[in-house]
Amino acid sequence: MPPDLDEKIRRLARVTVCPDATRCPVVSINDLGRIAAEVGTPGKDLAVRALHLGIVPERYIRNMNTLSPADQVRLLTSHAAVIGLGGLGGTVTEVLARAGVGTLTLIDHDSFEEHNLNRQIVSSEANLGESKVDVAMRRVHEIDHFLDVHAYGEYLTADNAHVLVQGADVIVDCLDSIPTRFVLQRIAEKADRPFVSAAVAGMSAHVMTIFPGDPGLEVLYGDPLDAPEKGIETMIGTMPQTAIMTAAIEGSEVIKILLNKGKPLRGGVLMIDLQENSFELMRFGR
Amino acid sequence: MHVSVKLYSILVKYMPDNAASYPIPEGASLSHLIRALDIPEKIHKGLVVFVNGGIVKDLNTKLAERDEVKMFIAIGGG
Repeated sequence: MPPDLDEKIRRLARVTVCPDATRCPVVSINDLGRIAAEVGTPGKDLAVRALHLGIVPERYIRNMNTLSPADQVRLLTSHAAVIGLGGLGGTVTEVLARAGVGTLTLIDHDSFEEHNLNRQIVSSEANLGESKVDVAMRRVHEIDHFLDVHAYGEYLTADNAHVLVQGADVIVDCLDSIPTRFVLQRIAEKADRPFVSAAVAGMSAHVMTIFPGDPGLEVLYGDPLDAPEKGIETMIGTMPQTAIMTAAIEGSEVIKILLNKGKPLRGGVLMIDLQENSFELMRFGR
Repeated sequence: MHVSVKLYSILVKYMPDNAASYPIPEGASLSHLIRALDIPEKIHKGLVVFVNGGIVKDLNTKLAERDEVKMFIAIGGG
């Protein structure tokens, strides 16, 4: 990037107070957007450049000290694929967009219906009947118009999955069909990508993070060829707090994986029962 | 002999009062325990069972004194 661009970013920087009360240079979205328009460089690249200069885009200031500027660069240059934009996927997308994951692939063939309104965070009375991917993409760009979104309003199948999730660093399973979860798991394994999977029903949920070679969904659902289409959610529905909290955990797993920080939920399943306030990480090995 | 039992989610209603020390016959299997707890047959297939912190797929597995059994039903909603 040309040095005069660095100078432009530096000139627009101002000092603010960081979460730890230290003073740090920041630059606003509007200022970065103005330079981006002026020089024809994508805003996301300018945000990355600013971080390299030690100037934090102000929108990320509350990420700082949990994340370093280098971590923020890593998120901005990462790519996550979210498959299924219902109760889980909408909130996962929201978390990843707000954290600043630079590229999001969003996949869902469905449109919003009234029965989605209790838990699907991007659904509203105003967008009933609209395609979930279109609404989710709009939502991401309302949050951060620098982010890249690849939106596919298609049903994920064994034939198209590898193309749709191509380039993703991590694959997030927010589906509501058990056989399709297996399709996605196979694609993640083949692409050598970590796979974060969660499911919700009523007040309970489970979350797994599966790296290539790890025990996978078979542990929960048995033989993929004999797996049912749905689980007990068809009997007991899904409460909003369960979906939103579980999606937040999936989002957290994705961020940890992208940053190679913390402990992902590998080698076990996190079983959540909000009715009993029970959160238990059950390991697969004895 | 006695085992401890912990059930999650919709299985909580089958949790016995004496779950911390639940009596079963010597050498009884997981499947015996599941039947003794009155967990309906139609949901047996979806059960995910951990014994002493390890997953057990075969419901014919014999239990031992003081085994710790945890069970939930795999769910699929997104």
